[in-house]
Amino acid sequence: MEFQITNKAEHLIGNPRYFPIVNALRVTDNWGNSYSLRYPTFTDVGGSWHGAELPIPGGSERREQYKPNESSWAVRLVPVEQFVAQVKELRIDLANQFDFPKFYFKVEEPLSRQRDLLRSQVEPDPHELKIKVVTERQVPKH
Amino acid sequence: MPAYRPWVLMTVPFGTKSFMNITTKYLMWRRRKCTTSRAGVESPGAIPQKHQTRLLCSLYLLLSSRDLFLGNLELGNCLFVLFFPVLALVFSLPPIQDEDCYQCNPFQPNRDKLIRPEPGDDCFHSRESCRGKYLKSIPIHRFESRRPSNENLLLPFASGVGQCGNVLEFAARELSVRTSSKHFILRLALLLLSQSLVGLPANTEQSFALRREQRSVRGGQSRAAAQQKVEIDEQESNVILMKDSFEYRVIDYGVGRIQVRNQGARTTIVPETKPRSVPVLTLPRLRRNLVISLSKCSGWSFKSQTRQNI
Repeated sequence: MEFQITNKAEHLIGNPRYFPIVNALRVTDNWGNSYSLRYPTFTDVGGSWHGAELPIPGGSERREQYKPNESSWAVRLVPVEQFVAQVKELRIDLANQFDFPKFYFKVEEPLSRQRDLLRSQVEPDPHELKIKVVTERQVPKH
Repeated sequence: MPAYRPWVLMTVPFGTKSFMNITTKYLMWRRRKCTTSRAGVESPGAIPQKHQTRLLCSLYLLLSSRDLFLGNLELGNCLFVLFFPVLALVFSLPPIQDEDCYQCNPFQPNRDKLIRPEPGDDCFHSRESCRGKYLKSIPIHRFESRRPSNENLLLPFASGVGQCGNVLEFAARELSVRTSSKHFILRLALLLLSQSLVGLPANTEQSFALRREQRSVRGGQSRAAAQQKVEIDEQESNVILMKDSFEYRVIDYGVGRIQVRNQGARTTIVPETKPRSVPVLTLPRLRRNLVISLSKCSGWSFKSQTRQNI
């Protein structure tokens, strides 16, 4: 899965709080199983260097500060063999959300899309992606 | 002056005959009172026990003053003799505990010191006010905090009189002794404590089922409360703008291969228009299970032959 992180502030330098640099994002399927959407490592391509990370083209998401309108892209993966059968939906939570409203991505039929994540390929049309943004808001009690 | 013993001084004011008369009358009245109490029927002329001491003190004062004025008592002994009724009167002034609340002990309705396995119907059904007093007098709640997680021990304050009756019935069967109500309560408390500590099994199937049921009820309530509070809104988008002024976008996903680059390449800024900039290549040492292939964008990539990722 490929992400893009952009500082939308006009004048302020900042760092993203909701995308972990080291830790993994939490992914939950429609059965309630949890997975870790993490940085690729050598073991994912058959290597035996546990903990050694693969370099990603243009991977600059580990920077600490972003100037205004500066962005980077990040690749996070989950090995396919970790998923259970008939996964129909994945929920990808952004990190460090402790209060409402909470946001997360919901991907429908994630395993049905066969596509490589190469550096040269053209970005797909967002309408091709079966992605929704879900917002959880806390309704005050009556 | 001869040294008088206290009991001698007590008999001086009204003489031995008067003292014996009063003592006999009191003992007879006391016996009649006990008889009527055992029968469960109060005689119309019975004097409440809390007034007995005061009545005796008043009678004692009356007789002492009579003997004093008649000259049967010397003045030196008079002050010493008057000390006792005054002292008795002072000690009788504090309120005496009303024993009415114990008269309807459900396991001892007739006050015959015989504990019955079941509570008396006349108490629970006819005297509603006594039931609360009796339940409050049971010191079981003192052991509730020390009680381990043993669901078989049902306390009366948690589930009402019915379960209280079951516990007390079990305790009464275990005790099966003739004892007073106070001793019964004490033994009952000790019995419940011992049963809660060592006697009853804590991990029975019944207790597990009860725990699961309680947890499911609590979890259902909390989930229901949480679902009532949270409102979910979905929209077709792949961009989330968070409060930190950063935009998080899902560019692409899929099952396939990923492209990697050399570690230490320069950081690039991703423009909004394509194509993206590509770092300068430096070929690293290769591993056997990886295949190098130059990509179209003059980058290089490791392509795993066996594994696929999303």
